[in-house]
Amino acid sequence: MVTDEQMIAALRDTTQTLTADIVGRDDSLSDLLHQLPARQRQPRNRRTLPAILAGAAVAASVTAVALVGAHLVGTVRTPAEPGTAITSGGPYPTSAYFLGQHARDHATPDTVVVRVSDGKTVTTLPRFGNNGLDSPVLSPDGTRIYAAWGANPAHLGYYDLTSGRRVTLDTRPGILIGPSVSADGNTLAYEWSATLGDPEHSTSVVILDLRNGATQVLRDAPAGPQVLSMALSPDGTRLAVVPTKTTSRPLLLVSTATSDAFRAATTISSGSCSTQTAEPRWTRHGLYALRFCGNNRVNLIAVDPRGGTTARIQQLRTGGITAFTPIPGNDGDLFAIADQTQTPPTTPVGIYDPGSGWSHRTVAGIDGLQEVTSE
Amino acid sequence: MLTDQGQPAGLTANMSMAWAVSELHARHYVSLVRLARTLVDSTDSAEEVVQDAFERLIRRWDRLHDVQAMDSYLRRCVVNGCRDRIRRRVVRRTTTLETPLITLSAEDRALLSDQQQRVLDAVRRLPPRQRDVLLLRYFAQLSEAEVADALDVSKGTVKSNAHKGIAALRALAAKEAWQW
Repeated sequence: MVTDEQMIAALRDTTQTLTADIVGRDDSLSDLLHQLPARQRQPRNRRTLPAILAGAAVAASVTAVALVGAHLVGTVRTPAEPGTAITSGGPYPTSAYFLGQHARDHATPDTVVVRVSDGKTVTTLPRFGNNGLDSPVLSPDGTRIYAAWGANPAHLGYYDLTSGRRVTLDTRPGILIGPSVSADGNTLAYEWSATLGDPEHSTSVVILDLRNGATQVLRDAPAGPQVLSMALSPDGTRLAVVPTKTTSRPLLLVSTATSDAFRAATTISSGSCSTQTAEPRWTRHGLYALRFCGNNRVNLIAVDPRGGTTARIQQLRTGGITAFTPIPGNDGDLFAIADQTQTPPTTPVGIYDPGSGWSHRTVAGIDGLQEVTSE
Repeated sequence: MLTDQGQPAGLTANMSMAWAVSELHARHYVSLVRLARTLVDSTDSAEEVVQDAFERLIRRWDRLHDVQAMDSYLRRCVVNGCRDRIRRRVVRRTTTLETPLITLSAEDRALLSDQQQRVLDAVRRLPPRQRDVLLLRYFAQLSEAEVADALDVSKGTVKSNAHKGIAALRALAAKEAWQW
């Protein structure tokens, strides 16, 4: 005689077999999102929307890191809190993994996840079409890769490393680029250039609270997207920004909570080196950036965000730095650094420990880095 | 149209809503499609039911004020959408084809073992309320309270229908001498 437990188990087994491979429609979410602006104007016509979306998904790709700051124009809350945005226990926490690129000399290089302990590539991310993911960054808990894709409308969202799904968090006309995640995982910042072709005057920064969907737009940033970069503080309340509107490219600190963010910016002293700063990164252990000192020297520096003082961590005797990223540990940060002394596509990535020097001097198969945030 | 800050009118509100819809979609879409698939006979139909559910959610957005209400609303929409499709399918088959109701599609049969086909066929032949309770309770693994909310019935009704549904399946298994 069959027991209740056997029958329930058989029912579960049957339904799980039936549905195990189901992942749903790829265009489901895009379809829904594109109905939002029109939903009060006209009845839906779902069957006509995929074609519209297919056109919107083809886009120009912007290759640089981003940012800016400026005028807070308002905070909007979602009508309901859809739940926590960050889950725990992701497969690739930034304390042990970082993002890199294969074949950087290609127009759309593959983004890969690299394990710090042995330099091995553990996974290659899907490309999502011809243009791939733009400016990908790994979430601190290793569950998501935030990135941008498409243009007019642009999309900003994440690739879920556990489910393999791509989720749109924001879509706007123009270009979205350069996401930065705070070290606590709660805040996302990214650049929005609303008017294509006019990057010097139409750039804004969107601050998104991942816990409740609240957004703030810091408008009228002083530069375009080409060579800008930014990093959120660990608690998401400040941005370290390198603008390009000025000729000196200083490192600026601005608040994400005030309407006059850029008017009240704190400029970090350039010290004895030049004033060309780039690529800020901000972990719970410290704020870092690159500072260019002549044609063949780049300093990796630590910045005290309270006092504005800087200290050199390492002088990199190379012709230039492609990218670097801090790898947060319990007691401090290691640094993965890609330099340009080697001819692409085999530019190596080194792991630098401020306490003991270089290790894993060459990470096989990686020829570039993407921005990576920290815990 | 632009606001005085140069932002398209309504854009900010829609961005925020877009974010919330994205989160809900990320959390529930796949599980709802899987739930719907147990009730209807093809994956395409299940996807359409769930897509309709999210579209209804968007249309009623202003009336839903918390996450629990949205979760519950989505489940209700999916269950009701599946019922509608089953009803239409039954009517279509009985009025136009004049053939006995066949609960398993070719897609079902391709995916399942013989034993699993027997189980699913039996579940789908149960009275609708028993069928829905069993699938929500034991496949979607909702609590009795959540099943009651999704089906708009009392917890007592959920409990009794779950008991009756399992008993009916056991009786059928004994009658047809299913091998375990």
